Amino acid sequence: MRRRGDYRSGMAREGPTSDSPAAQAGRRLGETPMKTDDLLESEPRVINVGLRSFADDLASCNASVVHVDWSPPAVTDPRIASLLAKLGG
Amino acid sequence: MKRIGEANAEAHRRILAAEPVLADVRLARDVLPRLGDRTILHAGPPITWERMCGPMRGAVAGAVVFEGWAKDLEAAMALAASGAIAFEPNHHHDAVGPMTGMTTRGMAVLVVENRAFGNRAFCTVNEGVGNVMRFGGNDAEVIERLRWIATTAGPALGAAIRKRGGIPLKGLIARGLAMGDEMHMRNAACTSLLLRELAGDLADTCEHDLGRILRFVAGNDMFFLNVAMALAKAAVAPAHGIAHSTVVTTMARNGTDFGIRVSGTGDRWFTGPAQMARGLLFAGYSDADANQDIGDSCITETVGLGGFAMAAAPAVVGFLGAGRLADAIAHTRRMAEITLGPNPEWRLPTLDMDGVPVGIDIRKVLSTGVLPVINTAIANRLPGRGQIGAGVVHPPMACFEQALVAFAELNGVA
Amino acid sequence: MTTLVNQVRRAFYRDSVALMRISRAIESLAGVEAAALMIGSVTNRKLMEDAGLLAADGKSAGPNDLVLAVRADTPANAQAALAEAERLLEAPATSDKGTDEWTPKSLDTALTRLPNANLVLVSVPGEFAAAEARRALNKGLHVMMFSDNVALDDEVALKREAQRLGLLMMGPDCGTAIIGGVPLAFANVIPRGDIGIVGASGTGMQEVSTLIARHGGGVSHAIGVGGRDLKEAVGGITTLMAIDALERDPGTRQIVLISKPPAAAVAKKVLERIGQARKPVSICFIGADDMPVPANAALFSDLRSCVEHALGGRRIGWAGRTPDAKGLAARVARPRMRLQGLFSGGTLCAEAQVVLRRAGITVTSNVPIPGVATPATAPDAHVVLDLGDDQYTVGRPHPMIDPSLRNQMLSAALRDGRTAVVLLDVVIGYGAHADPAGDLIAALPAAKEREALLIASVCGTEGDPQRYSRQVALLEEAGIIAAPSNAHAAELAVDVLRALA
Repeated sequence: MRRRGDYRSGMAREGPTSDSPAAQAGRRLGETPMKTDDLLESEPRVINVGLRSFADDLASCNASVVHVDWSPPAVTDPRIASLLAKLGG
Repeated sequence: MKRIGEANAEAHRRILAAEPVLADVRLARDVLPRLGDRTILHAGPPITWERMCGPMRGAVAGAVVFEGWAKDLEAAMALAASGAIAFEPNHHHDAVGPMTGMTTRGMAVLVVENRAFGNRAFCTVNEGVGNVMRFGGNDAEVIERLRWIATTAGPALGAAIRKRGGIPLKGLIARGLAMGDEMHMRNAACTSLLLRELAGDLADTCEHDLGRILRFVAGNDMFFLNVAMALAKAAVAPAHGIAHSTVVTTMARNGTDFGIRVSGTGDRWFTGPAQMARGLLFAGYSDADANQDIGDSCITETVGLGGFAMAAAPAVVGFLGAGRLADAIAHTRRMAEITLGPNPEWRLPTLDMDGVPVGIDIRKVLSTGVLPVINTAIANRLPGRGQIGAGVVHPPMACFEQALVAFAELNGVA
Repeated sequence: MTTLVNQVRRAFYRDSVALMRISRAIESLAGVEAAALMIGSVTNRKLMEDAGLLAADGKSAGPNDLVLAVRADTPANAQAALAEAERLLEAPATSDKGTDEWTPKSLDTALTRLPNANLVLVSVPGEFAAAEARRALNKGLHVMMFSDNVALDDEVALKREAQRLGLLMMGPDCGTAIIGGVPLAFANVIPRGDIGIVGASGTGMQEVSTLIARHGGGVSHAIGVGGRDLKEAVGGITTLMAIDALERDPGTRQIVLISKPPAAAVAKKVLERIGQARKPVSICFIGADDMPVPANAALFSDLRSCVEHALGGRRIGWAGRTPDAKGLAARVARPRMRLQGLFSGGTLCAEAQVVLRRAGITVTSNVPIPGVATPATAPDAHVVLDLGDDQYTVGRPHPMIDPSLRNQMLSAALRDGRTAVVLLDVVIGYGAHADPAGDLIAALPAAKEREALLIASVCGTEGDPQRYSRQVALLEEAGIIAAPSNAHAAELAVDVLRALA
């Protein structure tokens, strides 16, 4: 098991429950926010496309969720489906 | 793709910016300069005599007799079959017509001006119910009534309207939506509002048959349908012909084919078989009696009225069986899936004042599989027998597929 | 006289789970021999035909139509069953909310309802899933894709696009995630804490997160990456992004990474990234215990040991007395000697193989870890099966949703004169069956009539709707051993097999 300290930017590495301020802070100061930050730091606000039971379960947890009543695309002709995708459909 | 978005936004903006005004009632020969002799305008996409359904053939024969091109119906039919009559869609002349949609030079037409863009649209005057040319009626009663409209009622209404300087229609529609009309199958409120607008000036200007004219309008719950159709045509016309736009600017049926036209693909029609409406038939009729879907009246749906505004007229849903308010609302909400956005000037009280859904995007129709919903009368397939029921109907998906392929070709997408 | 009736609803769609529930309800009606409600795809029509449920009407159905099929003893019962099926189809999915019953049909309109949405959960059939994910990414939304049977090329394209946009593409084949304490798809109710999890395996994440919960820890987020993320073609795109995200997350102080052993090139990339992380990482590559890892990381080949390390070295053990393997072996009817494992979780099946292999016991599996053979090569050997694998799930829902196949195989295993021990996983939480233990027990003969020993572990927490303690109690009342972890269950099975030998 590794236990030696590994010094980088002045931070000590110890066990799984490190108390060093930088490890707690996670993000370095001045870093640009990432899109994952909002997801992880606020809450998931979900649009559910598919099995209705997933939306029902989320609602019962009081999560924000909107269910989409999905059905397969009406277009079965692959040529038209391809054009549609290219034209932003 | 961005160009499509911008083009569509422009189309939507133009439809919403319309300022439709009922400006006049005139004879078709005076306001449709390209409508020639021995030419009959009909509802729907182009069609030949051979392919016309029973009610339309009956109506054609009646129109030929009305114009004096043949002395009786039998001769009229022979003339039509001989190729001596030119048939063109109303839509090729900035016009629309309900059901068989017959428009000829000698008929009176409503004139609606879109004062925001300067264009005009035209529609014949609604004849009433039962034995009427729009259902294929063609006997002496039908022809006499058309003559009376052309010589007496039409000019009188025109004079009254001109005296008023034209009747602005946008606000009238907004009021009608709040009163249970959707302007396709429910026009009672707007007919009443229009009559109130006109009654005084009609009384002042009318020289003959004031009583008969007032009763003619007052006794017909569907009088305003033709005004609504011309209004819709006038509103959507400026949105046609915008390069890269996938917005539907025409939906129309001729009893055999359903046709659409799209803003960015010019004047090409995309057609498929006209469908059979699904709904309730009057007592004594069965599906075997029904004609296929017919008429230019779904121009109303093209601008967010009719089936798209079903939330305004929950009673209409009764034609489909269960008929709860929630069903009517669901229809309108479903149309929001395939349109660009609401019209904030035409709001629906049952939807917490959301605007009617406007601007059908063929891409959304294809990707969601949701077809435009049209409220419609169901005609008897035998000519001249009138309406036998009402219900909802859709265009065939094939129209939208063809339109997409054409659009793609035009825009260099393979 | 046996009657077969079909009814076809044109252009009518319902998700497969909703249809399965209705089918089951109809099958329990008087006189009904078999019933199915299925979308009329080519595959489904063949399945119905093979099951003797397809009549002329059903043959004409297309992929956008719904086929209702009933085979009953009399025409009257068949029609009554059809009528009931129609009624269940029409019943509103949620309670009447007055005039606002409208459900959006597209992502665009859903966004008008929830404009600040940040995640789209996609669980549509595989052939349509990529298009839905693409729509979501184009709208700047993260994606969790439960759907599987998605082309590998599509996965790679989606993950590259997501990476370019700075968005998380979790899946395809991502069955589990917990974001901000919210369970997504098949996940458990876990107390919030500072352990972040990244997993290529749903049940692996479920086992790890529930063990953490049951032993005083908590989870900040559990990010699923999909079963193929660590394949060479995909290159660990989502795994790397998830590590980035958890590094940045102030609520996460350590990371646990769970996966099958990755392709060598990908393992190198991931381990390098871990080495640059400022937080400690516990890695479980199931079945791999001989790999150099960076100084801030520790490697384990089984889930339980990985959790023990993450909890600071705390030992997870049997509550009360450890069971007596010899005493248990005495319950087994001689000359039974064979182990059968029937798992609904693929990673739990893999962990069982790790434990057995470690103990020197030869086992086969339909999803073998390195060093383990397939059942075909040694049909009489001990066998552990992943019933969630494709071969068992064509045309039927996953065993965690529909336990009927496992119940059938369990009955068969008990009747099989070779079976001494059956190993089971009982997975609870959201998405799982409402009462897996109860359903399992209902299909079993009474304990004293059984000739083999049943050893199970419950993967869940007290906060789950099914309640961990209740599921354990049901199992124990029915004479089934409930082990404190999947690894413990497999270890007990090893001890019993040795005692039998």
